[in-house]
Parts: sequence; structure tokens; C-alpha cells
Amino acid sequence: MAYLWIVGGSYYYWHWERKDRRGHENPPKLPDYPRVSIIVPCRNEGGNVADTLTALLNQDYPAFEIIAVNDGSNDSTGTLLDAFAANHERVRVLHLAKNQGKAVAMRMGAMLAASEFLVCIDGDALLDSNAVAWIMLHFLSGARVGAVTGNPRIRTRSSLLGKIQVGEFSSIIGLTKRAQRIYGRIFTASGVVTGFRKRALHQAGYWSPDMITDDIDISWKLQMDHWDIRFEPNALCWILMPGKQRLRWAQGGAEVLLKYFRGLWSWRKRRMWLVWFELLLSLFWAYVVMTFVFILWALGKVVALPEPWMIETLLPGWTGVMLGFTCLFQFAVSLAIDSRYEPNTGRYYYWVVWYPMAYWLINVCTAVVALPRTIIKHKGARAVWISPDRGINPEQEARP
Amino acid sequence: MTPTLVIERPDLQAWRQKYGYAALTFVFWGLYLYLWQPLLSLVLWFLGLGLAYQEMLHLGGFRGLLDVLVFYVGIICAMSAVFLGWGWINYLRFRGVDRRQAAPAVSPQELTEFFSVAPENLIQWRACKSLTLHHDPHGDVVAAEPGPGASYPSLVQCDRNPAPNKRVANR
Repeated sequence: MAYLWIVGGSYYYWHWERKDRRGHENPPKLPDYPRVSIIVPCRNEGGNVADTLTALLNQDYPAFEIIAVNDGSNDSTGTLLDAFAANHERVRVLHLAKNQGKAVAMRMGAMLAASEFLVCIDGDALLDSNAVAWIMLHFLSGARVGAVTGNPRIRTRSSLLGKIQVGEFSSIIGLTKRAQRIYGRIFTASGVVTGFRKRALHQAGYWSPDMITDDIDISWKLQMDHWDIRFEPNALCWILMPGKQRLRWAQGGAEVLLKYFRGLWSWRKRRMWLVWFELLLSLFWAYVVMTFVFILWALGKVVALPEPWMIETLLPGWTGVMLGFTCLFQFAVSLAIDSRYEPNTGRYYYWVVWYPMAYWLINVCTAVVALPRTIIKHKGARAVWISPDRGINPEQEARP
Repeated sequence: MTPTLVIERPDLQAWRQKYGYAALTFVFWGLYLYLWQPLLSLVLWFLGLGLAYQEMLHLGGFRGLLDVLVFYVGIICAMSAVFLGWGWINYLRFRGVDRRQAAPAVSPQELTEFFSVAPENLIQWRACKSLTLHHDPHGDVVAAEPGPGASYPSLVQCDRNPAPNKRVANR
């Protein structure tokens, strides 16, 4: 799979990005600048939301409004948003009296938005000033484009986890999205920054309040309804470290794997088969290759297993060399492709060694835990916010 | 890049954490190289050429590498060819062709039907700089409370739209 991502990502780069020398600061001139509603769902973002809205107000795009949705926060978020709305004509605030979860917050934002085009970003993210123009380029050039996902960049890089995630975001997220664009469907748009065509959302039934990862689910809903989702690496969005989200992501993957299984098997849905297969393969890897191998090896120590089931040793052989090489190669390719959007990311290569040694194991464990959790999850149960640790941020800590 | 956006402040970390993680990462590189043990062994064997010949060629130790390499390279080439071929065929077939007509924008009426709210409510809500919505346990709007400066009463129970809810959430 890693090699498919490497080959696909490199091909995407070669075909779509290599010749474009404009840089993300210089988006192309658009034939038209339709009005855009930027929706910012936030819960307890008192420390971040002022920066988020300030960055949004600096958008280099002529016609936009900002709808901040305060989802039942119990900190200063509501007061801060009201102050912003009072001082800035472009800003409106929608308070939800009780915490309803991100999906309902965005549904309400979409309902109140006056525009056909929405850009949804998280309440702790800083959108690059040209991002909206880059996103709109796709909506104006393709009638079947239902969503455009941007390029999230990690801001908090002091800690070990932050440094690893710089590599992970360019490698796993950037490279897989590029590769998946080659086969025409992507696993998920990024929940941090994505533009939507409201018609596509409306046809698909907007975000589902009961799905644990709204972004994965809406991506599948739109694509199952034959809408295209594109990736725009120039639409940069600076985010704080998304920590402790791994189990949620794994569970979101397992949810769509099960939810869309039945609807998938018609010729018209064939483009989703590869995404589904890719997801299934990662679960298979987690369960069979990792867990069963370990269990069989341990079992072989106490009971005599038949010859084909016997795992002699966990010591790495030539396969270990290949795995090790593959992982480092994948990171090298993705950091090289990514360097045009953020120079000097090569120095994070030192920290990526954690990825194969520890992160892969964590990912395997989360995948193994997520599947049964998804199966036994109460059907229709509402998914609400879980605020993660976002890494060291001196500006936020200095605030009262 | 906007350099000020990146927060890299190792000085805010405890020295134990800062150097501890760097050292631990170094150890991990060591462990990682352990994965490469067979390759390192091969290199070391080559340094003592006679032994390398004995182990790798005469006893066939290199065949393991050859087998794995042939297997992996074969699969990677086959997958890549199919993948890129598929991408290329699709590109040639569909480039510049968009069979789908531009879809009309979603009208306020469609929105009010979908979200089961009265059209006049939506008009009022959109005019508010600040608005509070109350929901029932299913996430449907039941009441609205405009913020300061709004021109209508403070808490309004919603007139639910009589039209059937055209929810298609589970498609």
C-alpha cells in the first residue's frame, strides 16, 4: 500500500504540481468570485478563536461572511465571538444553547449561510489568506466538485508528538490524498479545512450527528452520491497538534467500512471500491499480519502448532529490511514533495523514526480496538466534542 | 510559509523532556537499524569477503534477499502499472469533459423543508448578528433567541414547518 501511495503521490506531483511555479501566495485569477460563507464550529476555544477569526478576516477574497458557531461552550468563547460580531460586519455568531456536537453545529451553520459555497474550518485553525481563492478555483472549474479539502499544517512543534506529526501530516495525509486523487476518490476530506458546495451537501443529507468522525462520513456520503472531492495543497491551514484522536479516526474508518458496505456493490459506485479496499487492507494488516502473527508466535511457545502456523521468531528477516526501507522511503518522498509548501521540513526527518517503531504499533492497536467498539456502538447515539491536547502554545498560555 | 505561525519553543520544555526525547529518538534509530540487521550482516560479511562468499553465495544466504526483492519489486511494479494505467485511462477519457450540468444553488425553501423550520424564521435568523438556537434531543431546532439589537422577541418557540422532513441522512 505504501508503494501505491508513493507512486500515486509522485505521479500527482509530476502531473499537477511540478510545473506550477506560482506558489501558494499567488492564487490564479478566478473568472468569478461568488460569495462564500466561512463556518467556524467551536467549543471551548476561548484561547484560540480570536486568532482564528482574525486570520479569516484577512482573507484575500472579495465576498465572504463568517459564521462562528459556538457549540454550548462553557468558557469565554461566546463572549469573545459576540464582541467580534459587534466589531466586524462580516462576522455573525450562532450560539447553540447546549453542546450538540460538530455535525449539528455545521448543519446549523450551513442552514444560516446565505451562500452556495461553504468553507468549514476548526475553531483553533488559522487559514492562510489565499486559501479560499484556491478552494474556489476547483468549484468554478468543475460542476461535479462537491468538496475541496485543504492542506493542514502543524503549528505546535516543540514537543516530540508535534515533531512526529509534522512528518505524519505530510507523509500519511498529503501523500495518500494525492495518490487517492489519481484513482478518483479519497478516503476523507480534512475536517480541519474543507470547502463544500451546498447543493452537494443538501443532496447527501449534510453531516450525520451520529457518526464519530463527521469528516470521514461526509466524504463518503458525497462520493457515494457521485460528487468529486478534490485536494488543494495550496490551501494551507495552520493547526494546533491534534492529539489523542487516533482511536476516534480508527473508529471513523471502521464506521464507514460497515455503514457503506451494502450500498457499494453496484457498477456506478466502482470508484469507491478502491478506497474501501484500501481501508479493509489496513484493518487486515492490523488484525492478521500484526496481531495473529504475535499470538501465533506466543502460542507456539507453549503448544505445538502445525508446521504452516508455526512462527519461529519475531526477529526481523529480509521482510523487516523491506518494511524499514519502505517507511523511510515514504517519508523521504512525501517530505520532498511537501517542501514546496513549507521549506526546511527535511529536518523533521530525524523524528520520523518513531513512526515505524512506535506509531505503527499504536495505529495497529487502535485499529484492533476500534472495530469491535464500532460494532457494539449504540446505533444512532449522538457524537459530541472531545477536546484534545494541542501542544505547547505560549500565546495561548499567556492569555488570562 | 508564514514563519510566525509555527510555534517551535523547545525552551518552554523541561530540559529533561527536551534532551530525553532527543536521546530516546536516537535510541529508536538504533532499534530501527536492528530491523536492518540482515542487511548490515550482509555488508559486514562482505567486509570479510571469504566468509561472505561462504555464507551468502555458497550456503545461499543471499537467496532470502533475492526472493524478497523479486517478490516485492514484482508486486510493486504490477500494482503501480495497474494504478497508473487506470489513472491515465481516466484522465484521457474524462479530461475537459464534465457531463454534469452545473447544479442550481440550494434555495431557502429547500433548506427550510430539510431542516423543518418555518421560512419566516430562517429569514429572521439570517438577519441576526448573534442568535442562540435551542435543540431537542434529536438535534432539531425547537426555539430561537436573538442576541442584542434584534428586532423580534427574545425567545421564540419555533413554528415547525408543516412540510415533511426530507431528511436523507442515511442514504
